[in-house]
Amino acid sequence: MGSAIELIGRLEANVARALVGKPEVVRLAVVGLVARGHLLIEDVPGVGKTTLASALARSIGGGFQRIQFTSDMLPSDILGVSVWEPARGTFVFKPGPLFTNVVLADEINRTTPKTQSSLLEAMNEAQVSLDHSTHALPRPFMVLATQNPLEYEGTHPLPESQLDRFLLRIRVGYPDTPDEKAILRGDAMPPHESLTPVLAVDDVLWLQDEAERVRADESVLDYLMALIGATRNSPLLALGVSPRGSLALLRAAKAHALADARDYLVPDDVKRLAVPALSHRILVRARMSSDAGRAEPAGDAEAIIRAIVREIPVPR
Amino acid sequence: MAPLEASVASRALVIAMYVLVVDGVVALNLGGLLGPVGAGLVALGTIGSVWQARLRAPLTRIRGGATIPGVIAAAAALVDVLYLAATVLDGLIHLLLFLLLYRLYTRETLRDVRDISFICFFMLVAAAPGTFDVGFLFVFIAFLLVGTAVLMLRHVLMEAERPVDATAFVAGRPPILPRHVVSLTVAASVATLAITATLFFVIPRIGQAALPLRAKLGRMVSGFSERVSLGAFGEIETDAAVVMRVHIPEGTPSPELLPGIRWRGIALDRFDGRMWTRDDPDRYLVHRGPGGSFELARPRGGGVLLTQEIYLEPIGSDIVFGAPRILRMGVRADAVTIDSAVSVTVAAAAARLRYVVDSELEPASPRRPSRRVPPLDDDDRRRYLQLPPIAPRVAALAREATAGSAGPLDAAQRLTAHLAQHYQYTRALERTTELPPVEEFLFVARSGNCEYFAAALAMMLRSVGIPTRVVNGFQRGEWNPFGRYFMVRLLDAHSWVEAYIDDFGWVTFDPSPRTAGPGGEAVARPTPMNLYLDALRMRWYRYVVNWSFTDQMQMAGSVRRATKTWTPGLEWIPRRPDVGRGTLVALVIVVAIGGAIVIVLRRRGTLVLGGRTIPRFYERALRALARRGLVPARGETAREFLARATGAEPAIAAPLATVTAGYERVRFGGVALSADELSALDRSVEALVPRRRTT
Repeated sequence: MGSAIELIGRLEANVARALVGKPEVVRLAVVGLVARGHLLIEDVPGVGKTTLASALARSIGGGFQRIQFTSDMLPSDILGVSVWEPARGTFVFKPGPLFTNVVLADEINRTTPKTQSSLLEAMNEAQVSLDHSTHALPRPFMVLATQNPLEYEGTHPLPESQLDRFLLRIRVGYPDTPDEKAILRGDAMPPHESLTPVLAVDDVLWLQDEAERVRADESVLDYLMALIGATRNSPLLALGVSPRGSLALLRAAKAHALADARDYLVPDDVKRLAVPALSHRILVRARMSSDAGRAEPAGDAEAIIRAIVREIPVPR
Repeated sequence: MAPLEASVASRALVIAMYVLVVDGVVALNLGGLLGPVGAGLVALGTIGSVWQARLRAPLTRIRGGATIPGVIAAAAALVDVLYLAATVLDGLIHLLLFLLLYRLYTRETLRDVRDISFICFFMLVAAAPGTFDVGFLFVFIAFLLVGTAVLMLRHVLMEAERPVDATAFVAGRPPILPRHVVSLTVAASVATLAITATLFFVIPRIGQAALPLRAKLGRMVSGFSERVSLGAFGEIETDAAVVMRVHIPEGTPSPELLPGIRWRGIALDRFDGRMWTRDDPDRYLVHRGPGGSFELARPRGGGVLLTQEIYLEPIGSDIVFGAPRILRMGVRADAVTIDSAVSVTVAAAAARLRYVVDSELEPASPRRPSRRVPPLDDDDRRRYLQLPPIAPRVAALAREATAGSAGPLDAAQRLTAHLAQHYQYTRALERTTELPPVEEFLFVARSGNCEYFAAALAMMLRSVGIPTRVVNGFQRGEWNPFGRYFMVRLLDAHSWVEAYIDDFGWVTFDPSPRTAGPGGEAVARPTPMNLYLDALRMRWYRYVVNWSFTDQMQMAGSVRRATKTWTPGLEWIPRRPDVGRGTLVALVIVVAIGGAIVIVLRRRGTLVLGGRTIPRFYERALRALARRGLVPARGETAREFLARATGAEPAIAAPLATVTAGYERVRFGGVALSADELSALDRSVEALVPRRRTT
């Protein structure tokens, strides 16, 4: 327990060196890692999505690959390919960039659905099936994807099924003025390439196991189910949260509790993670009002989740 | 639930519980549902249960040690209720007593104490309809006080999350049973009593004021039936039991100074030498007058009018009493009958009877003849002159005593004076000769009780041609200044004579020297304490047992009159043709009550959410914060609430943070806190309670 806090603290401090002034975002990223999840970092360009992802990746020992997604990319470009080896007279699998511990999938919505969906099995099953054979991915395995919400030109929005596979969707947001000034001055901001790992791979696996063991009181589970049920019954939503979503929320909340130095859940954990864990899993019903054309579904979804969280009574 | 430890509070709780049990048993005894033998057995069992802990230990080791007796008892109770008990009520009482003892012996937790209290409550409820005794008032008040104490002690013990052990008490911590509990108990009881009394007096009553569910038939008192042997009063003349109370309403000044007040019951006219009977057994129904009361006679004029409110205990007769002559009578009964000798009967339930009588008292001397008196017809004259075969010396004595009198009135007065002066009053009624009783009284014993005096006077007056009848009733009794009533006891039973004097009508003559003055009384006068207690009993009958719808209407009327003069402040409310001031006031009351309900419901809603139990210290902290105006919102977690409260009142930041952290650990972490942690939490909760500013 004590060492879990210490490890997480070290990790957060390291990441925070690269991403100044965003402790909440760093905390969410670490939660995603500890909860064995994949992160979708979504925001306008230039706020540090890639910085966050690569800082997290570089802070833990183990392999790191960065894939810059483009529209002409093929699934084999990320999964790998079987090539004929004349010496042995067989096809030999050449693993793609996915075969590593942390994958930074930059601008994931720039590539075609075909390539996007090739990520699907890998993210969910931690394995790759190719040419009748299955290749396990190393552990831990984590995908950090970034995407631009505003650049619709030439993008392919992620399908619902694939969004559902991300544990959390994180927004970074603009930094505060003093923090931004510090960035401009170049104070205390080493290039994230220079970060050194502070956690070994085994440490990460151990933390993930610890998070599984966090105690969830019946009342907190009831509260979580009340939130999920509200998304399924809300008249504003066309699609509520799936059981995978509720499981994701629980896992994320448990990791959050661990990061908060607790071995039990409190409603705050669930409440804090409801928006990042749920808002990308729901579909907002098309609005009938005059501003129906205003396209900002993500903002709407978050507002609805926030409203639900405000409404559902907390266990006491 | 905390086991009953040998702590101060739980010891007090056990003592209070036993007081409740005793109270319940006394109530059952008062209600006539539990005889002295049964009460003794229950008391023995109750005393034995003090050492129940030793008994319970081996019992719990046996498998089904507690359930098997329970099943057997349930079967026995069923058989008892259906076949053995005298009535279903008795069977249920047996069951209740069994449950009580069973619970007393198996009690272990605070829940059991609560159950025992409930059983005691049911005992009181069962006893309530069967008793009119004022003692029940004391039983009830005792129950209220002790019951409140039990509730509070139980609450204190439940609130204390760790067992409050005796060592903490010795170590100098404040004891858990200071005067506060006692004073709070008294305050809560008084408030409860006030509220229930208000409800009692205000909720409309229907029909009979008291339920005659199991009214005890009073003793059968001889002397007021249609056949009365000489000497019937002998046995009751030493009985000090109160038989009736005659309340004289305000308006008659000093009724205790009115001369010759007596309470007339039955009049008898036929004498066979040993027994008085009635010659004409016919009774006539009396019709209700326009005022709702029964009109019995017309006023003759000349006498004082006296209104009496009479509470008559059941004496095994339907004769009612009142000061002669009764003019009208108000009673809650279907029928009032009267006979030719103006004896009034009311067919009523066996319970205590309350009625109001208006009487015209006989004028004191000097009397003046009146033309309005109807003459006695021949049949009646013959009846009232009937004589058994009597010795000539009786008639001779009568003639001798009345010789030289100016008229029948004078003759009757002389004969009365003769008897009063020359004969002794005694309660010793042994017969010594074979003579007829009256003759023996007149010539041998020369002493007797009122019945002998009355019989002798009646016979002698008849022998000189004056029609007479013997009247059985009661003497005036003791005046009770505390309640403005005459307290009439059985020993006040009395017999006297009414003689018909032409132009005067029926005139009362009382030859017994007993009535000459109180000095002749052998029975001790009641002490002021007794008088006061009896006045309390009277009020209990009047305002609790006999509280009726009519009383409520009268009270409402007087309240309305009082408020009309008392609240001139309402005059400013503009009068509209459609909205009366009464409607406005009612509206305000409705809104106030509705607001109170909403507040209560909202308070509950915020506290009960989540279903499972909140740690007590956090509940207390929430209550303390609510007094500061800080209430958590529906969707607000403890931490968010902490942040908000800290923002509002920075002074409570540290203690509330401690409490919140402790709450999370206990509530969601499933952690059992140590004693030190709990006392630290207690201190933090204390720090949250708002202090009154001293400046």
